[in-house]
Amino acid sequence: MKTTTLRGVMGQAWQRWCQFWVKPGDTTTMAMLRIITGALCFYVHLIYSFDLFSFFGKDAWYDLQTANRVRLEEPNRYPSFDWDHQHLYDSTVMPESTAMRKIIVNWLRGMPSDVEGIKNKLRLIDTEGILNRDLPPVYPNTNVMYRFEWFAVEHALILSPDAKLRADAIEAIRDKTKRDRREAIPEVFDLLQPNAAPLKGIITPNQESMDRFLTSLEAFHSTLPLGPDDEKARRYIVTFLQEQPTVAKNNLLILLRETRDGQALSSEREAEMNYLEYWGVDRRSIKNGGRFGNPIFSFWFHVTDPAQMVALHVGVLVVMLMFTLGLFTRVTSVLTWLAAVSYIHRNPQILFGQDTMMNILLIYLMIARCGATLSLDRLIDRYRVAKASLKRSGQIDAPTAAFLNHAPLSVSSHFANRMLQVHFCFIYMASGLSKLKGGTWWSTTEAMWMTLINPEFTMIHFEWYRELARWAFSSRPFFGLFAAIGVGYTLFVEISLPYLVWTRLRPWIVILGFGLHLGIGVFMGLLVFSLFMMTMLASYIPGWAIREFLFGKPLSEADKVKKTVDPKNELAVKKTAWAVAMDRTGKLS
Amino acid sequence: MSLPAPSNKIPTRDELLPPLPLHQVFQLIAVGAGLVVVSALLGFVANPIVDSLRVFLCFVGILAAAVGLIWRPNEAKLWLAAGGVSLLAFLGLPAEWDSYRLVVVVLGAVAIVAGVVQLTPLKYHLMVLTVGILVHFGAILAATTWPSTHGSPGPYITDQFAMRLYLPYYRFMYLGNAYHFYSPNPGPASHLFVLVEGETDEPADPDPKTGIVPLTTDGTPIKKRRSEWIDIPKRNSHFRDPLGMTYYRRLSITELVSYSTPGGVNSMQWERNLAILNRRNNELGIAGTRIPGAVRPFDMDMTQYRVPRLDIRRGLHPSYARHIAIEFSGPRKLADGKVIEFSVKSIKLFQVEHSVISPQDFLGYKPTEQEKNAANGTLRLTRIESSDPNVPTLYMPFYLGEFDTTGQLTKPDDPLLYWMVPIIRDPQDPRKYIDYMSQYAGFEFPWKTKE
Repeated sequence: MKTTTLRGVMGQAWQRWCQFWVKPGDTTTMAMLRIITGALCFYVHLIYSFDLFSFFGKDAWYDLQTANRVRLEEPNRYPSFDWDHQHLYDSTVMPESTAMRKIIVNWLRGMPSDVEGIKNKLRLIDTEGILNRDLPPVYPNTNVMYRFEWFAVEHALILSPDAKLRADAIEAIRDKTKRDRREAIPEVFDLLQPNAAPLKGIITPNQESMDRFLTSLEAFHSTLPLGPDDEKARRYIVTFLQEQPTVAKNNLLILLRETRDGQALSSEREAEMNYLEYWGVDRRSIKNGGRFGNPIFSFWFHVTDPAQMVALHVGVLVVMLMFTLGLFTRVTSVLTWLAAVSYIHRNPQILFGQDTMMNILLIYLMIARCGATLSLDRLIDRYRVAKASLKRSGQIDAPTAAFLNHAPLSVSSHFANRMLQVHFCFIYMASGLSKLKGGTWWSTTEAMWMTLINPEFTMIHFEWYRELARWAFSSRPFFGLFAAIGVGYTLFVEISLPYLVWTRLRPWIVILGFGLHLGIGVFMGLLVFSLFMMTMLASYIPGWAIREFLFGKPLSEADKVKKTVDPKNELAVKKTAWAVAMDRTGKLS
Repeated sequence: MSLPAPSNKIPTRDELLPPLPLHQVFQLIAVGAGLVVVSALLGFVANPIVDSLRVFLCFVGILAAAVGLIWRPNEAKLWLAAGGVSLLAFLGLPAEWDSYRLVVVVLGAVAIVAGVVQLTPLKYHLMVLTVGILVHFGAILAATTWPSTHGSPGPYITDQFAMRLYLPYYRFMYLGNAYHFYSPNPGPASHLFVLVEGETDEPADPDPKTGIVPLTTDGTPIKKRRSEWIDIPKRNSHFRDPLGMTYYRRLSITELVSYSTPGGVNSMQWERNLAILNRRNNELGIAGTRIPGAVRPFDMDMTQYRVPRLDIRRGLHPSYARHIAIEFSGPRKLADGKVIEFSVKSIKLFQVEHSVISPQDFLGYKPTEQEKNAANGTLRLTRIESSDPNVPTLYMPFYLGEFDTTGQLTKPDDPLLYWMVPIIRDPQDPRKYIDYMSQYAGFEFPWKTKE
C-alpha cells in the first residue's frame, strides 16, 4: 500500500536511510581492502627506514623544536560573527620581515618595567593620539590638512636624530602663526624628506595642550633607538605604529600597561613578546577568539633516542605486518592507524596525497571487521570451530559447515564500506569540480602538457619518453585531440562517478576510475597514490565477486569430501581441523 | 552471473564456540587497570627510565582492556570499563607524553560513549549513528569547500564551522584535506638548492706570493674553506626504492618552502613597497654584480617577490638549515676518495621553481622575431631556445636567506631576500646563460653534473 502521509513518507525515508548504512553485510570487500592497504602501508613505513632520523628524529628536516612549537602554540583565530571584521584588527600586525620584526619587538621589550614609566613614555600614542590613523584629539575639527601636518610632525620630530633640529621644530610649533593651510602643503611634503627643515606654521588649539603634547613627544622620543645608524630602525617603529589598526594599538598598550598589585608583569610581557615575535599576532587576541596549537599526537614527539626510535619503528612494522595478515585485527587495526598517524603528525612537510588516502582507508578499516575473512584470525577461527565440531561429533556438522563455507556477515563492515564509498564520492567530486576553476583545464592542452611533461613527476628523464612525446605531439591537431580526450575523461570520471556509481553503471564507472589512476600512476609517476586510490575504488566491488575471483565458484555438494574422525583421537581431530581450516575451496566438509 | 549474497543465517563464531566468561574478561580489564594505576603511582618517582616504564605499563594496560573488549564486544559494561582504563591512563602516562595523553582521553571517551549508547534501545543507536554520519561528512564537506577561489574567501558558513567546530577533528584525525588535486591548475615543481659553506680540517692553501699559510689571530693556520651545492630532490640519488617514496618525500619537502603569504590584512603594504624599493635600488651593484629585476615580461615585481608564509619563514627555513648543518658536518668523502672532516658554517637556501618547457621549445621550433622581442610584455612565456626540459634557464631561484648553524637568518635585511635571483639567457650568445644565483651565492652551481 502506498504511503502518502508525511509521517509515512518520513518513516520510509528513515528506513531506507538505515538500510543503506546499517545491515549485516559481506566482510570480504573490506578484508581485501585490509590486505592491500596493509601491504601498501607496510611498504610506505618500511621505506621510512632509509630516513627515520632525517624525517622523525630530534634534528630532522622539520625538527622537534619547530614541530612542538607548532603543535602547542600555533594561533587559530575564529572568524567573526559580525560584519565589521573587527576581529581582524584586534591583533597587532607585525611586519613580515625578520629584521623589522626584531627591531620592533626589541623596542617593545625596552619599555620601562614600571607602570607609571610606561604611561609617561607612551602618552604620545595613548592619550595624544599621534601615530594614529585617526585624527589626533587635540584638533576639534576634522580637516584633511591636519593629517598632513601631523604626519609631518611625526616625521620631522620623531625621525630626526638631531636634538637641535627637534628643538627648532618644537619652537616652530609653539609659534602659533595662522597660515593658509593650502600654502603649507609643499612645506609639509618637504618634511617627509630626510633632513627636512623644521616645520613652521603648525596650528595648535591652545598652549596647555601643546605643552603637554611636547612633553609627551620628548618622552616617547627617548624610547627610540638613537644611534647614528638607527634612522632605519626609527622609521620602522614609527611606520609600524602608524599602520596598526586602532584597536590593535590599544590592545598593545593594554598589554604593556598590564599590572598585578601595581607591578608590571615582566615575565608575562616577555612571553607575550616572544609570541608576538614568532607568530606575528597578539596572543591575547587569540585567547579572546581562537585556540592555540593543534590536537595532534605522535610518539615521535616523545621518543628521540636513536636506539629507542629503531626499536619502536621495528615494532610498528611488526604491527602493520600483523594487520596486513589479519592477526588480532581488531587490535592491530587501531594500532596501525595510531602508528601511521604518528608518522603523519610528526612531519607534515613530507606528506602528499597518498598519505591522505592511506589515512582514510585505515580509519574505515578500524571500524570494519576487516579481519573477519581472508585473515589469520579467520584461519584460527575456522580451526577452532572445525575442531569443536569434530570433537563433538567426529565430523563437520551443518552449522559449522555453514560457518566455514561463507564469509561472516557484519554490520560494522557494511557500515564502514558505505562510509568509504560515500567519502570517495566527496573526494572525486571535490577533485573534479576544483579543476573547473582552473583555466588550464579548460584549455585542455595546457593542463595536459603540464602533467605529461613535468620533469619532476613524469618519465621525461628517459630519452625514450622524450622521443615518444616529441613524436606523438609533433602534430598539434593530434595533441589537441589527445588533450581534449584526456582532460574530458578525467573530468567526466571525477565529476560523474559520485552519481553513476549508485546506478547500474557502477561497474563501468569503476573501471573508468581504475583507468584514470592507472594513467596517473604511469604517466605522472604517482604510483603509491594511484594504488591507494585504486584500493578505495575497490570498495565498490561486491564481496562475492572478490571471492569468486580468488577461490572460484563454490563447489556443489557432490564435489565435497566428507571427513570423519574419532572424536577421542586428539591428534586426528587437530590434523583434520587444520586441513579443514586451510581448505579454501570448501572441498573438505 | 552473480552469486547470491550469503544468507543472513550464517552462524557466528560465538554461536559455535562458547564465549569467554564475562568474569574472566573483567579480570583481564582489571589487570589492565591495575597496570595503569601502578604507572600512575610511579609518577611520584622522577626518573627517565621510570617514565619509559610507565609508558610501557600504560600501553600494556590499555591493550589488555582492548583485548577483553574484543572478546565480548556486545557488553556495554565492558565498554565502560575499558573506557575507564583508557581515561585512567591519562594519569598513568608521564606529562611529557602529552600528545598521547590526548589519545587516551579520546579513546576513553569513545569507549564510554559507545557503552552508554549500548545501554539504550536500538532506535537510539541508529539516531546516534546518524548524528555521527552527518557530523563526519559535514566535516568532509566543509574541508572540500573551505579553500578560497581566485582571491575570494571560501563560504562564510564553512569557515565558521571549520574553524570553530571541525578544526580539532581535522587535526586529530588528519582529515582536513580539500582534495583539490592538481587544481585549479597543475603547476611546476620546486627544488631546494642549498649552498653549504664551511671549513675542513686541512690548513688553507698557502699564499701564492709568499708561500705562507695564513694564520688566525691566535696563531693557528686558517682552515681550508669548502663550498658545496646540494640539490633536493635528485632523481638518481634519492629514488632509492622501487616506487620512489624516498624521492617523492623529498619533493614534498621542497614544495612547502615556497608557500607564499596571501595578500590580506596581515600583509603590510608599506613593507612590501619598501622591499620593492630596496630591490630596485640594489639592482645595480650588489657585490659588483648587476642582478636584473624583471627577467620575464610577464613577471611583475610581485611575482618576483615571494615572501613565504610566516610559519614557513619562522619555523621551516631555520629548521631545514639546522638539519643541513648537522647532516653535512662531519667526515665527508670527496670525489677523489679522500675523506675530510667538514664543519658547516653557513647555509644559503634557494627555492627553485622548475618551469615546464613550452611545447614550441620542446618540439624544436625556432622562436619568431616577436618571441625574441618578448620584452614588450605581450607573451606569457619566454622562449629558451633549447629543447632540453632541464636547461638552466627554466629554473627560477628565489633566495630564502643565509642561515647559521643554529638556524638564525644572518642577514635579515638582505635586499634580495625572498626575491627571484634569475638565471637568464646571455643576450650576447643565446647558447649561454648567466646564472645570477651562483654569482650572488658566490659559488658556481654544478649545472653540468646536475641529475
